[in-house]
Amino acid sequence: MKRRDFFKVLGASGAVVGCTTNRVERLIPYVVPSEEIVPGLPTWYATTCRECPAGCGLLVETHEGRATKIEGNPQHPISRGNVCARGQAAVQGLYHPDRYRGPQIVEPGVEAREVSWAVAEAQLVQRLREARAQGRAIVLLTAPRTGLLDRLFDEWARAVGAERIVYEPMPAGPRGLDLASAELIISFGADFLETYGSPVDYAFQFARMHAVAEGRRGTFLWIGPHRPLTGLNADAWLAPRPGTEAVLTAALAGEVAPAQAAAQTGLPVEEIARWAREVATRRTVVLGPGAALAGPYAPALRRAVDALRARVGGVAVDSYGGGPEVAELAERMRRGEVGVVLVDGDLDPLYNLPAALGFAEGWGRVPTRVSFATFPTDTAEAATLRLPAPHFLETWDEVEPVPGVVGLVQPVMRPLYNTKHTGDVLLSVAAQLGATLASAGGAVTFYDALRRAWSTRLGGEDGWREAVRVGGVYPRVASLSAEEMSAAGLDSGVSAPPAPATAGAGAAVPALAARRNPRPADPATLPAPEGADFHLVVYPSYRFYDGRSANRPWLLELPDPVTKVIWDSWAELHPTTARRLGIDQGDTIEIATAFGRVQTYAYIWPGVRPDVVALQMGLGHRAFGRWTAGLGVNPNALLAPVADDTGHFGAYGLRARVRKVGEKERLIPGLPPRSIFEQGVRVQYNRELAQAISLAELRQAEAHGPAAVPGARERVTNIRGNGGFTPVTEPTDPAAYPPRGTKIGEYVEEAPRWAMVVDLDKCIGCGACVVACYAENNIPVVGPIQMRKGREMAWLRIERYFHPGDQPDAALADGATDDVRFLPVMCQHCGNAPCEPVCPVYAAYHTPDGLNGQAYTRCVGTRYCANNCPWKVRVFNWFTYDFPAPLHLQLNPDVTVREKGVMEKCTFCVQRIREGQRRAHQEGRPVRDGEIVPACAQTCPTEAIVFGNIADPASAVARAARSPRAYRTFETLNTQPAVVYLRKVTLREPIRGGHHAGAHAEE
Amino acid sequence: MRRRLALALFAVAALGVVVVGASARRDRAPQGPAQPIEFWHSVHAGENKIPCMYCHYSADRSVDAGIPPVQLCVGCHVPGSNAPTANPATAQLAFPTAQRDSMWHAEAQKLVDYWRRGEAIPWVRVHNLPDHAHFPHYVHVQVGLKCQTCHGPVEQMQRVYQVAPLRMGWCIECHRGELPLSPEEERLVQARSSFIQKMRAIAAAGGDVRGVWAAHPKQRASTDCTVCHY
Repeated sequence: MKRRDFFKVLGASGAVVGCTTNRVERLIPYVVPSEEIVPGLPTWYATTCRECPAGCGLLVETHEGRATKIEGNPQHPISRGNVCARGQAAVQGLYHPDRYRGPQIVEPGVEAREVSWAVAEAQLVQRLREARAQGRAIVLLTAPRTGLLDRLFDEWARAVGAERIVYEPMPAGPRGLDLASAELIISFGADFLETYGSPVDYAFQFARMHAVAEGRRGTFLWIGPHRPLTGLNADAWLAPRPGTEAVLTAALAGEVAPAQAAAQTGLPVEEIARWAREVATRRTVVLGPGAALAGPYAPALRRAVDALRARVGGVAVDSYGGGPEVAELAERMRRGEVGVVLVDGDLDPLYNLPAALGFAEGWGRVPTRVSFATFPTDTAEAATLRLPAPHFLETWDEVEPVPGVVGLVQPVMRPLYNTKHTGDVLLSVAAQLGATLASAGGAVTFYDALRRAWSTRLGGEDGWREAVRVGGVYPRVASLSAEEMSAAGLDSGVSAPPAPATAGAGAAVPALAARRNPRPADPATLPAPEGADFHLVVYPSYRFYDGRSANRPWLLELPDPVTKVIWDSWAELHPTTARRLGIDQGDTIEIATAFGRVQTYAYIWPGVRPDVVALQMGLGHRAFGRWTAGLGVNPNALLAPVADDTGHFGAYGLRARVRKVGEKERLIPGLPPRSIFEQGVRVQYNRELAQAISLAELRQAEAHGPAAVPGARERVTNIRGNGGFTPVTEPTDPAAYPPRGTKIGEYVEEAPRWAMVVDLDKCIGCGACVVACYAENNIPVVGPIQMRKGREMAWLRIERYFHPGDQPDAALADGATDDVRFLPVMCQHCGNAPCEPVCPVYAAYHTPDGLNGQAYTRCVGTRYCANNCPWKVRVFNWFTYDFPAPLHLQLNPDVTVREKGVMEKCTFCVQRIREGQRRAHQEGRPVRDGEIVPACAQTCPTEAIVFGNIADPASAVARAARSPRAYRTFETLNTQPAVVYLRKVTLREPIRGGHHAGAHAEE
Repeated sequence: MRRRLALALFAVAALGVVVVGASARRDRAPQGPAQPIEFWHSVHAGENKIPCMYCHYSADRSVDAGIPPVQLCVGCHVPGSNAPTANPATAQLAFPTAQRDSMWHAEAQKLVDYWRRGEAIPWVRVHNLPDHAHFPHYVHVQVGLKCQTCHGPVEQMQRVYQVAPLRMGWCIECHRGELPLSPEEERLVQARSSFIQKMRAIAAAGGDVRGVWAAHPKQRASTDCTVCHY
């Protein structure tokens, strides 16, 4: 053999040796173990959510000291065990890679310098002293707070000689209202299913009053120039001419004749008369004006709405925004009168305030600008001193969203970084200045002060420990059965705990509530640019609120519930307007007011009045982390620097000009996209996926059986025989799944058959379930470019359809928003799955308990299964996706993290099913109905999803599946889906797709 | 031609040596991997008959068996420590003063050093499954299996080494009833296995279990993929 050949062989053999691994894995024990943690099992802590002012009670799942999943606390009267999408995404705030890691001093022209807390506080103390010596103002700008931190802010300001200004970027809305017992809800632009008031609580209550399954069938009327998600769930929409809402309201109150209101508002007189009758005869709750209607038109509207509310027996509770004080502050800052400004971590005035206010210029003139923000917000990035507060999941606090419900915020894990509670900073700085804060009660740290106050209120340490265990003091609700409660480690007693003495603890709505701005913006005197024939609407975002949660990748990837746009901003225009101006969907348009202009992409749909342009809040940050910086546009650039009567800066009442500035550009690989991407389609193409039934038809079906449902008979005869599954043509028990005569394979009879029922009458289309699924199942975020290629990884998506027929233009017609269908689609776990026979390696197969199993380890990535799936719910890992540290700490250890080349899909949270089965067997009992709850069902605020063993006739899912509204999607394909949908119930006869298209006239 | 043949044979032989050598697992070497502290199970679990779950405390209730915290070792080994389990009498046993220069003294001193530094002992993992297999210890412990059935005669091992192949085929064999168990274990498994109970219930109710039991009449546990892979 030649020497060269020898070396070649040796080299090849060496390469083979390199293919083995000598990697050593270590087992790291505790040094001193935690008494609460059993390794491998999750430990749950009760705390309170701080993503918005609603204050939902949470139970947070942690694994070995890492928070992994957020769920609602079933005993909490606000959340009732449910959490919205923003609450689910809070863990991404905790683990955001761009959080501040410690205090920083920023000097002009120099990189931020990390310093110790001692140094940072010393600098603050020194600057405060200097400001006092120079006679310059010290201003403390905070969000509305309750509880100990609120009192500390006040006392600190007094002690230090500072002035406290409370600022609320958008009206939060009243919490604690009773919607469930209403027969009619009228909302004036108040998106109570998304951000207004207490959305998780209100969504639940809305389902109670509105859903047929709950027995009641209240009505919901939406009034406003724009129809957001909440409006799409309304039974009717009145869109009076902008600025004439007050006279409409007066007509509803019976103070003005409907004909007069009709003339001014442009609405049909019979509509106004009809609703005036409804108000007069039914128990009515009036909500609003919401944040979308804040602005110059608000004062007149609010007077009318308050009057209407008084007539129907409600109380006006609109909070004060602090806008005029902030405007004045901006002026003083510009004049150089302010020496030190400190900004609460929950605020981002450089983002939220109208650019025309000049706050940013004034901010730049203040020599010492202090931010307590946890994240690099626009404000914090322009600060000179950053004193980052910890995230709410790693710290202590209290919040009282409504009187009688006091939520305790407790850390569920050690703080990740060198952060310090704002209360601690205040106490420390006060001490260094020689002042004591009385609310601290002599304690040195915020935690000690909190604990002392609670122990005193609750009569000792035992009371404190109990409060920590359950997450506060609140009247408990029994949203689970007694058995379920004890299985979850909660006690089932609903005895009222000792009421905390809340005097002075901060009212639910701050004492500023009664304040009003004496000089609100007057729409008549506001300037407008030439040719401004649009009214501007800026409305809050379900995903981003007022912008504060825009840095969470899950929320950026979640398509907007209404427009289904991902990872970008847009501006909404009516189709006739768009035609008139020659604007197509996705074209770049410029919206200009007298105060600013933005360029964004056009979204054309009939959910706005033709004379309105609507922008959603939330994007357009300059900073705020890697995914959000520079993304989208900030509509606050358009606002006038004058607040409305409640001190909020709003857009409604401003005139805007809209013109096209660019064509929608095609996607060029490698370049940033030059248009928006709308996921999904707007019509159902006759596929009858999301079905509806009118109330009258439903009563017929209840009286005469399910065959009385329109189309039921035809559907049954349309089902084709398929792969050994012969169709069953007589009406059978829908819960008998799979129907007799269709058994194939090794299915063992008395094994559980896992199934799910989704009630479309309760689903509001919010997408909280989608984010919960991401959190539970380690689903990667793929980003805008991959999503445009159709490579989204969501296991569950919410389809949104405007029309059941096959004409896409039908989605642009004026009535298209009256019967919007939301359809949560996930793997249907078909009994006769098309994806199973085509897998060459048996990775897709059917388990004995009815699941469509996916063995990741077997999958070789042919993708034939996804090809065959009619629902297209299978997603493929085109890459090994990254979970940038420390987001990887959020990963659920009970679910495999998938690699490139592997197919995945909804598993009905099989990890929870297996865990539930093992636990039940361990305890020597069968699995209880309702014990196993997939993540989507667990979080849904309206509780639209029911899961369980459909083979058990007494189970909730079997009982729900027997409803006359029950149907399965793509039923005619005879794939035997395990997901049963309940038709949405409409007041009027719904438009039908399929072969019913055109057969029934729309009323 | 002959040269080519010789080259090919040589390549195969070299490859074979390499492959066999590479697959000789370190862990299966009679000694087992070297650990940060020379801890012998034969002394603790063998001579002193400390129950497995005194140290591996979560094996009967969690998916993880649990590695003893440093505090646990300190409870016996560090005289005068603050550990709640410190007991002068047993500490004396573990720390024979007459043999202050012995190897055991040096090793125990290492433990003391870890404890005083507040540092966790970085044990080398011997039994490991890939991340895509979820193995719940408690189910197997509670069904009546002895630790030695899968981990071998640990109480006789000085350094722990891996006895069982831990490959999926081996797990499936036991689930299918093709691996023998001791009579006591077999009795417990037959009484406690949820799978067997379910099969019996179905058969008693007149259901059809042939699809499952015809292939593996002695099957003890489910072999459904999603029981372990999810």
